[in-house]
Amino acid sequence: MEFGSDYIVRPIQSTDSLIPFKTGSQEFQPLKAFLRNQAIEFQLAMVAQTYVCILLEDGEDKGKVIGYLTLTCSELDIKNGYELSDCPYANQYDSLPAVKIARLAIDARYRGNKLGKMFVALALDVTTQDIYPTVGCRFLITDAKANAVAFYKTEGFSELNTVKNLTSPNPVMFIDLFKTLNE
Amino acid sequence: MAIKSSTFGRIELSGKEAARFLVHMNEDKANPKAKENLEEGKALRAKMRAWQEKHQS
Repeated sequence: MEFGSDYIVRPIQSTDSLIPFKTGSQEFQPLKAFLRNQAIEFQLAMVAQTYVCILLEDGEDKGKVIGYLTLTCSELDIKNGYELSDCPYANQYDSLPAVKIARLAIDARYRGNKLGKMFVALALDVTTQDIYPTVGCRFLITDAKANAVAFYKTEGFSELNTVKNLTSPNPVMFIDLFKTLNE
Repeated sequence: MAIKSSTFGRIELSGKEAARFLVHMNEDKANPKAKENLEEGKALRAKMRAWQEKHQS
């Protein structure tokens, strides 16, 4: 699928068609419920921004949503972890600014078209071109569902490498924007 | 608890998790796939802006 001929991406609108969106299995129902019931509300409340992938119909945007990404401001709080005797990096930052991928879902009928990868690329551009230059942002983070860990790893995320995190049902995953931009 | 997180909130790390995160932050190398997606994101946003300008006028 190609941008501009098959689909476009833009912020969600209250007129978008959200009901036909299908996640395909019971485990993804919360993602469908969020899109239908909360995505607009969160956007209007300025709590999160949802970008939707719109399937073009006869070359026109008629609001048919086939995927979405929800971003929100977040932070990584690490101050409770400092143990000065054994942590050589202590006394630098108590918390680190981040943008969180709160939701990412593709309609089951349109998976396999690299739309998920496209949304990760969009999240990276938003964080590095809009957020970091204006207010600072060090990480793109997510609490991945277990069945999405492989996808996020493929797209450049790292897992916090501890036993507790790796065995968590929603492991913390991150991209260090500083390294991504500067190395 | 060593990891506390909510879908629309912050992530709190403590103990071993916080210490390990600091090591990641200071010692990991850039992920080539993330760099590739960063470039693809720039191209995508350019297309999004072009589409918007074309269809708003």
